[in-house]
Amino acid sequence: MKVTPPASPCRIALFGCGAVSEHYYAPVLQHLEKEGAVEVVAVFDPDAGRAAKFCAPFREAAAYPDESFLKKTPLDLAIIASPVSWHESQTLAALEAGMAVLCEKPIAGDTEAAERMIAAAKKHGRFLAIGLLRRFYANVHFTRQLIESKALGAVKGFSIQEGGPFNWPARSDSFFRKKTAGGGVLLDAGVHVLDQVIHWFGEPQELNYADDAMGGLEANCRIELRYSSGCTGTVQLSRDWQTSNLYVIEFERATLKLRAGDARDAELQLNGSSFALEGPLKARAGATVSAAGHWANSFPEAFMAQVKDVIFAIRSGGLPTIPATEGIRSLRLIEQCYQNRTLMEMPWLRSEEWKAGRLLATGGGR
Amino acid sequence: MKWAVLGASGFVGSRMVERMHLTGESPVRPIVRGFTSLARLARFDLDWRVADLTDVAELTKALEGCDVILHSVVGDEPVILGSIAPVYEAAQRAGVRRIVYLSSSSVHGLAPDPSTSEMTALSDNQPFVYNNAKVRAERLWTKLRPTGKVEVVGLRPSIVFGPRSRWISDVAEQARHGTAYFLREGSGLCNTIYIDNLLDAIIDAAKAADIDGQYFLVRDAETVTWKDFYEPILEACGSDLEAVHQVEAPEFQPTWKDRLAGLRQSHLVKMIKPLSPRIAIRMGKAALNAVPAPVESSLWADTGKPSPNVTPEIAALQQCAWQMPCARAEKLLGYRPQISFAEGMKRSIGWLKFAGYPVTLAGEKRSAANGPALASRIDP
Repeated sequence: MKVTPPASPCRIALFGCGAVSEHYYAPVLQHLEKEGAVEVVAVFDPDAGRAAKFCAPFREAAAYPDESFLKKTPLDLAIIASPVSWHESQTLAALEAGMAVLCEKPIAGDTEAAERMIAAAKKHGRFLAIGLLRRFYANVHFTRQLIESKALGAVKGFSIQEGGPFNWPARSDSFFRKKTAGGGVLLDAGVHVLDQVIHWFGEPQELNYADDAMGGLEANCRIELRYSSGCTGTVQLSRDWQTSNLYVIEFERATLKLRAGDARDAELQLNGSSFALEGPLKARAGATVSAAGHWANSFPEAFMAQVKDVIFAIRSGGLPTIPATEGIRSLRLIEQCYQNRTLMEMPWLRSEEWKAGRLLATGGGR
Repeated sequence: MKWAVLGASGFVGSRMVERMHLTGESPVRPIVRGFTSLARLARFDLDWRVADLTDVAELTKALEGCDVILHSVVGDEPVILGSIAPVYEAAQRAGVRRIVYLSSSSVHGLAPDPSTSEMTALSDNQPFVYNNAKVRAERLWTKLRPTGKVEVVGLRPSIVFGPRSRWISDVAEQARHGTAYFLREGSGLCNTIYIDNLLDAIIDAAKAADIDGQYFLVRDAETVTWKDFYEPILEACGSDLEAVHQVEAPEFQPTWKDRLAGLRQSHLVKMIKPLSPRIAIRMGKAALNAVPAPVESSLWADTGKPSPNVTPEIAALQQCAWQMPCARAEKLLGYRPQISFAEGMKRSIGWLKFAGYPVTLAGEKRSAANGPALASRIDP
């Protein structure tokens, strides 16, 4: 891929000033701008006030109510942090303008759109990275190393529960409208979880999927996965009720537990012992997740790592750690889930409610 | 009859929306305080509204076209009390006919005196902040009622259980960690009401004539003890009554929070409020200094064994010896609980499984109960 290294600092355009931009990209970019690594130049949001507010701490940033700046301002990187329904059009526009792109997860609302985005990146000779930042977590990488090395034997099975009452500081109801969100907890938190599952175990041979959407977007879902190796697993996600937030992986000789959202800790219980090792992972010499040498001990560190990773890729003319070809894999699995969806058993519903729920779940009216 | 449900993301409100929407009994409009609260409701394609419950204009717009309001807003005292006047004013402007306010039997205390009924005088000088807030809320509704045309009817349930109830999940968590406990061997009266029975009462309260300004105690048909309540959940979680700690009623020291809440309501604070800030701060500091420091936990505690965390609220509730009467609700609302306690509990345990708790449903074998793979290993 032909990429021209930019003159420092990396000139950035940010699309979308919602919660993820305000709470995570803003502090990361402010820090990097102080270091001289980036310069935030253009900020787009249909809400002019929100865009202007985002611009305030940046020296050169200007707020735009449309994408006209793409044609007149030379830029190196576009960060797409808009609602998912805008990912494709904004990514295509940025690629066409000659920019590399870091697009928030999920890459798109469906794989067809994602494939068009990947094709556009190839056509314009620019990379498209996806914000699946958990791959920078130290314990996610540690788990992959254990699985690949078979140091604890092969994986027999796994069980994942993640989620709790929804608490993302949403600034609109776009998260909850089918038209703008495209999916519920599976498409939202599930993208991260399934990306980890694919990163560790690869694509499953079979799956069963059920959720609780009845004309809207699922707040709970459950996936059962089976692999050609004989390994089986379950994934349960919720933005309705507190789950155990645990990842449990059973190897032939030990059981590994990770806490959802935690980047650094792990618990390892060797078979035959009633005690377990639990604590933070310690990086040894040569520890790295990305070509740029970044890895993260926390969620904010992972944000920093992924932005630094794409800047490194632009400067080095290389590829980011999580290109769109990786980002599309969890989306494919999600589509497979939705295609096979059934309604979760909800034994508290009265029979007429259950009937109506099933009808609504399959797209019918009440 | 179109419903507006305030507090629609909560346990009662969300089940009300779910039932109304799925059965088509009545059109329903959920109203929540922030976008974040939409996650559970968004399972359905609904005409929801987001409104600040202290903003009359926003609320009026959100309530337009609705005939009845279910007010099931939960929160601390400022939230409980803060929404009442704006909601009443907005309901008036929007032409709402009646507000069904979800109060609580805790207005009578957590272990009320025998013979307690709706006619018993209420006190807002109880040891629990929540109880006092609910008493003040009822008084505020009564005070506001003559200022408008909108009728207000209140319900006073006690232990409302069902899917997404903390009463159910808390016992499941206690079963899992070996921390369940009984005072008086669980013989205290529980005064349960299954969520769907409560919804029936809410609907009755919206329809019944000539009940404006009245409050009704409501419960299940059966007499249920705390032992009765815990037993099926413990069993489903693979535990049993033998594992329940039997404890004596401890003497509780008020927490800092309780003390501060009490202090705010005290005559002293009311007296010094108009004084200069410096004097008020000095007097406040002196009052706080009089509060003894918290006692540090013992270093010699046996950390290997789970021990129950006995709270003042549960201790009081488990010593309840009075079954709340619901004759008045039966007579004036036509209320008849349709779901038995056993059936309500079965449905609640079914929800525990739905929510990922490692439970066994009646008729299932434990080994197969936890679903495929390793769900039974989900144990922190």
